[in-house]
Amino acid sequence: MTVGCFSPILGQQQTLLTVNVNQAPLKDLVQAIESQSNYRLYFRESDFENALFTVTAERKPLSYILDEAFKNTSYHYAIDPEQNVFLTRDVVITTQLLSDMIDSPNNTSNRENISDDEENSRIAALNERRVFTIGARPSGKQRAVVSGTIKSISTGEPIIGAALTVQNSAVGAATDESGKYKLELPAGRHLITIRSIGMKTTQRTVVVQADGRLDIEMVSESANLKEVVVTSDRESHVKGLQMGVEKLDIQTIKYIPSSFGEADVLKAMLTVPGVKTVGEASSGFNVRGGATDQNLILFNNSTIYNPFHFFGFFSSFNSESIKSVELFKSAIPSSYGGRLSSVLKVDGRQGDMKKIKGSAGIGVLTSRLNLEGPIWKDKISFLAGARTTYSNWVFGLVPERSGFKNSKASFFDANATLTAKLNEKSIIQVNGYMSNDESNLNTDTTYSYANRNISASWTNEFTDKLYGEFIAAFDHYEYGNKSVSDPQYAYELKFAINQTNVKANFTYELHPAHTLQFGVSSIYYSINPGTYLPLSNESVIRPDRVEPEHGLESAIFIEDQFEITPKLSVNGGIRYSLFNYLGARTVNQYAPGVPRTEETITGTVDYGKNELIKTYSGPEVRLSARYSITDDFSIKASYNTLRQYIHMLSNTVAISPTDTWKLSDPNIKPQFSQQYSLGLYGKVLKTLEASVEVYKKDINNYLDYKSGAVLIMNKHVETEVMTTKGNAYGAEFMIKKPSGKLNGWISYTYSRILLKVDDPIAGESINRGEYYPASYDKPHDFNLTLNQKITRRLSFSLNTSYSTGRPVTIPIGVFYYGGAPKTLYSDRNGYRIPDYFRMDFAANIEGNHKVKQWIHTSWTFGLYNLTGRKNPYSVYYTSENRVINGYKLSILGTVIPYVNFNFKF
Amino acid sequence: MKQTLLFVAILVLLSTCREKFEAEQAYQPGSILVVEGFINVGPGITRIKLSRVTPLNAISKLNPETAGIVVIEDDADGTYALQHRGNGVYESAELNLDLDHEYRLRIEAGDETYLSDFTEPRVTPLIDEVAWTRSQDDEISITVSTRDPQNETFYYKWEYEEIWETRSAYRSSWAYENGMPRIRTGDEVKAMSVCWPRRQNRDILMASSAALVTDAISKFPLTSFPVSDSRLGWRYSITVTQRALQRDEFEFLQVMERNSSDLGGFFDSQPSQLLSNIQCITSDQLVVGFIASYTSQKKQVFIKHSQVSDFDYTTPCSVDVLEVLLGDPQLPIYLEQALPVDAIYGPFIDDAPQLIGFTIVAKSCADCRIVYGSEPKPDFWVAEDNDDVE
Repeated sequence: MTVGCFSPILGQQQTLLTVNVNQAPLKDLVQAIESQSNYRLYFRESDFENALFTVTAERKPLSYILDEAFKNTSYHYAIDPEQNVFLTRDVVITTQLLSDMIDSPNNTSNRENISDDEENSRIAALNERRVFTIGARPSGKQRAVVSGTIKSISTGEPIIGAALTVQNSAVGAATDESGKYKLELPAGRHLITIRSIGMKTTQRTVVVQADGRLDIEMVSESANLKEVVVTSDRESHVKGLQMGVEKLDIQTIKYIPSSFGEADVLKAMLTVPGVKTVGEASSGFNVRGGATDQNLILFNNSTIYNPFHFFGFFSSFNSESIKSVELFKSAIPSSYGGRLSSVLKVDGRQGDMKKIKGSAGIGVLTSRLNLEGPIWKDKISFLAGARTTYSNWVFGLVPERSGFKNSKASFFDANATLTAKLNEKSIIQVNGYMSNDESNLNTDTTYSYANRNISASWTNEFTDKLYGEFIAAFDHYEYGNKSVSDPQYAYELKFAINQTNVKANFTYELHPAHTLQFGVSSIYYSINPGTYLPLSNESVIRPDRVEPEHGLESAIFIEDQFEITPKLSVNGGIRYSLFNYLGARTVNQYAPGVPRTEETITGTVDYGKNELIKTYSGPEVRLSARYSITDDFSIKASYNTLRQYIHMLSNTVAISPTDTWKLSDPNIKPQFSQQYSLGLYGKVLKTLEASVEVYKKDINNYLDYKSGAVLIMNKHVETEVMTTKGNAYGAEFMIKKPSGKLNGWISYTYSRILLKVDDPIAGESINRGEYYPASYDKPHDFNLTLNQKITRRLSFSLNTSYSTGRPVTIPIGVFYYGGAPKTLYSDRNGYRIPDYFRMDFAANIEGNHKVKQWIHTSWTFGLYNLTGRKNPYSVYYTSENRVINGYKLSILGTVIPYVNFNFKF
Repeated sequence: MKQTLLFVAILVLLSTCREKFEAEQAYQPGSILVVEGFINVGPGITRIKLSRVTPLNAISKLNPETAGIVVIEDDADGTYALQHRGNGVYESAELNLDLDHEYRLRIEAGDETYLSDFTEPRVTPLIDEVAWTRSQDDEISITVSTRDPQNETFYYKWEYEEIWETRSAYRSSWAYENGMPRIRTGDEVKAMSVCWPRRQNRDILMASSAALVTDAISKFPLTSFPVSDSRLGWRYSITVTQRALQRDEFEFLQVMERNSSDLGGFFDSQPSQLLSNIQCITSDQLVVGFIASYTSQKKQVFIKHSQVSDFDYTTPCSVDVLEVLLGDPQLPIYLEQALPVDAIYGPFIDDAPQLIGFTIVAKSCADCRIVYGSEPKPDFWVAEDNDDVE
C-alpha cells in the first residue's frame, strides 16, 4: 500500500523538488522538502519514530517523492490547497474540503458508498492534522483570544460543556450553553484537546497570531459503533473554572441500572456525591442539605415543578429526547436564581438537521418513542418524544387477592422541540413539554397531577464579541384529587401554579481576559392555593376556595470571568433579586410578638388587583476562583448566596400528592442561603480523576411545621409554619475512571443538615430550640457505579449504594395527663430507620455493529436490588386494640428483574 | 417470558412489605416521669399527680408513681412536703404560700431527683361568672367568663369538679349473707341509695386572649350534657378552678394536645417536642410536665332538678320475683347479679310469715355505689327540702 489519495493541486503550478535521502529519519526528508518549497508538513512524531526512508528524486513533484518514500509502508499523506501536507500512519485521510476542490474521479466514486459516519470520521481525522492559523496576520500582541463554537458534526447541535485544554499550559475552557468557548493563548503554536461526554475526543493544532475564530466539529461516540465511555466532564473538573458541577450525558445514564430498566435522568443524578433522596418512591432529591423545593429544575428553559411520575418511581423526562443533565450544586451562575440549593438543567436534544431518525424503547412498565429530523434541511428541524405506561393494563392482570386489582396508575409525558437556524449566528428554538399522572392506588380517591410547559428562545451572535439569548416561557403545574365513589361526599381538590418567565442573557467579550455575562429576568407567578368543590349534585361538600396569590420575581445580574493569569482565574457575579407580592388578596394581620394562631388574627387588609402588598429584595453574590497548581492539579473555591421566594408546603415525610407551593408574603419571609466551598481536583495514576470538595452552607428562614399543621385549604398557612435556621456541611470524595474497559466512579459523602427553630413567635419549639437533623439528613453516603466492557457488544453495569437511614420522629410511650391518654414522641428526628443498601446489576447487549444496518437494537437485562434487601422506606405507628404498634414499610423490597429493548432507526 | 416479568415487577412494586418495627429505645418508657399540677399560692392546697409513661406495645392505662417524695421549695430555703393520697396524687396542707417568693418543685422518685425551674407566682384574676344555658335541643352547657383588668394574664386554664347527687331506683332493705337473709340497717340502706359521684374534667381546658383587645375571656365552654343526664336527676354542682398560665406552659399544653391528635404516621404531620421546665438532676432522664406557681380562683355553681323539672332522669330498672328455698345452693349465684328489694312472705306458720322469696332488681338499681362509687357526702351539700332519704 502506498498512496492514500492523489492530491494533485490543480490550477496551481507544482513545485518540483530534488530530494536525495537514504535510510534517513523523517526529519531529514521534511527538512529537504520544506527548504525547497512552501509546503509545510504535519505529522505526529510518535507515528514516525524509528522509521527510515529512502528517496532519490530529481525535480519531481512532492507527490512523487512521498509515494516513493512511503512505498511498502503503512504511511499515507494528503496535501491540501494551502500546501499543507499531512503525514499519517495507518489512517487514510480525505476530506470533503479537499474533494470539493479536487475533482478526483476515483475518490468520488468511493465516497458515494461510505456512510455519513465514516465520512465524518474522515473529516475529523483530517482536521486533527491540519494546522489552523488564528488571526490574519501576526498582531504583535503577546496573547490573543481564540473563540468559536463546538458542534456535533452529524447533527449540527452545539455541544455544551465541552472541555478544551491546551497542551503544556494551564489554560482551559468549557463551552457554554450554546456551545461557545473562548481561550486566551500566547502567540505561537498550540495543541488544543477538546473533550465532551458522548463525543470522540479531538485535537486541533493552531498557530495563534491574533484574535480569531475556530469552530470545531466533534464526532459523536455512537454507542452502536464505539465502545461505551462513561465519563463525566473529563478534565473540566481539573481545569474548568466551575466547581460543584455534575454533568451526566445520556450515554452514561443509560448504563446506570435503574428500577424497571428505564434510563432515568434524575435517578442517575443520585449516584453523584452530594445528591440524596429520602427513598425510592419519593418525588424529589436533596442537594447538599437542601430541601426538595430548593432545586430549580429546568427542562429546555422551562421550570418543572414535579419532575416525577407515579409518586417518584420514574422521572418524567423521556430519556430518548435528553442530551445531558447538569447539576450546579455550589457555584451557581448568576444567570440562575430563585432556589437555594441547586440548578438542575436537563437539556433536550435538538432535532437532527440532516436526516429523519427515530428511536424507541420498550420496557417492563413503560415505552417511549422519539422522532426527529429536518423539516428544511440544515435550517429547521423537529424533535418529538413521548412516553407512556401500560400499568393500567397490567393492574388488570393482577390477581384479585393482591388487593390491587382495582388500582389505576397511568402517566405519560410528551415533549417537542422545533429548531430553526436563521443563519449561522442566529437560532430560534421552541420547546413544549407536558406530563400527566393519575392513580388511585386502590383507594376511592384519584390523585392526579400535570406539568404543562412551553418555551421559546432566540440565540443570536450580534458581533464576534456579543452574544445574546432571549427566552420567554410559560409553566404550569397542577394537581387535583377527587373522589366520586360516594355521591354525597363527592369532591375535587385542586391546586395550580402558573408562571410566565422572560429572560435576556448576554455574553460580552470585553477584553481577552474578561468575559462578561449579564442580563435580566422576570417571573410572574399566579397560584391557586386550593379549591375544594362538590363533584355531584347530591354532594353535601361546601365549596371552598383559598384566595389566589400573585407575585413578580425579577432579577438583574452581571458576572465577569476574569483570567488573571493562565493559572489563576476568578469569576465574580452579582444578582440582585426583587420580589413583589401583589394583590388582589386579603392579608391577615397578627398581634405582634405573640405566636400566630387563628386566635391572634387581629384583622385583615384587602389589597386590590396588582396592588403592591410586600416587597423583598437583596443582592446575591456569586464568587468562584480556580488556581491550577500543575496541569493535573487544581484548587477551587467559591462563595454563593441565594434567595428563594417560593416555598413548597409539605408536612409529610415524602409521598404526598398534595404538596402545595406558597409565595413569600408579609407573614412568610423569603429563604436565604450562603455557601462556602473548597475543592481539590487532580489526576492520579494517569487514568483516574480524584476530587474532594468540602462545603458549609447556612440557610435562613427555612420553613418547618408546627405540630399537627394543616396545610391543605388553609387560609392562614402562616399559623402552621415556623422558620428555622439550617446548618449544612459536608465533604464529598470521588474517584472516577472516565475511560477504559472498566470505567465508572466511586464516591463517598459525609454530610449533615441540621435545623434549629429560629422563630421567636413560633409558639412552640423543636428539640428545645437545639439543632436537629432534617428528615433527609443522611450522614454517610457511598456509591459505586461501574461499567465493564466485555466485548464490543456486551457490557455489564453494577451500581451499589449505601446510606445512613433517614431520621424519623417516633412515638416512644403513652402517658396520662388531664385524665386522658397522650402520646409521647421522641425528639424530632431522634431516631433513624435502618440503613439503606442496594446493589443493582445490568447487562447491556448491543445489536451488531454494521454501519449500514437499517435498525440498531440493544437490550438491557437487569436485576434491581440484587440482594433483595428490604430497605425500609418509612416507619409508621398505628393503634391496634389500644396498643400502639410500629411498622416499617419497604417498597421494592425484593429482587426485581427487568428487561428493556431499545432500537434506533 | 415477558408477561412473567411484568407480573413479577408489578407484584413487587405493590406488595409493599410491612414488617414490625421496634426502634432501639434510648429511654425505657417506664423511666419517664410525668408531672401534672401547679404550685398553688394563696389559699387552697397544691395537688400534684405523678405517673410514669407506659410503653407503646402495652395497653395504655394510667401508671401512677406512688412512691415519690414531693416537696415545694421556695427561694428562701423554705420546704413544704406533700403527702401521698393514693393513686399517684400528692397533696399539700393549706399552706397559704405568699406572693413574695419564687417556688419550685423537688421530686424524688425511682432513684432520681427532679427539679422544676423557680417560677414567680402569677396572680390569677377572679372568675366573673360560671354560667349555664339550655339550648334549643335540650343541651345544658356550662361556660366560664373572666377578665384581667390589668391586661397581663392572657392565658387561662380551668379545671372543674362535678359533684351530683344520685339515688338508686330501689332500696334494698334485705341482705342475703352467709346463706341467711337479714334486714339491712338504716345507715346501710342510706349508703346504698344516695351517692355523690365526683368527676374531674378529662380535657385540657385553656384559652388565650392574646389576640383580643382586652384581656378577657367570655363564655368559654367547659362542658355540656343533655338535660336528661343523671347529673340533673336531683342536684348538680360544678366547682371551677381557674388559674393563669405562663405562655410557656400554655404552649406546652397546646403541643401536647396537637401531638396526641394523630400518630405521626405515613401521611400524618410531624409531631413536636414537648418542652418542659422540669429536669432530672441525677441523670438525663426525660420528664414530661410543666410546673409553675399561681394563685387560683374557684367558683361553684349548682343546678337543681327543679330548674329543669320538665325532664326526669329515669333508670331502666325492672323488678323480678325470686322464689327461694333458703339454703338452696343456687341462691348465692342468683344473688350475684341482683339485690333483694323486699321480702315475699308466704302463709303464716307459727304466727310468723314465711319468707318464700324476694323481689329483686339488678344490683346497680339498688346500690348506686356500684356505678358511682362511695364518695362521701360533700360538706357543702345541704339537704333539699324534699329530701326524703333521712
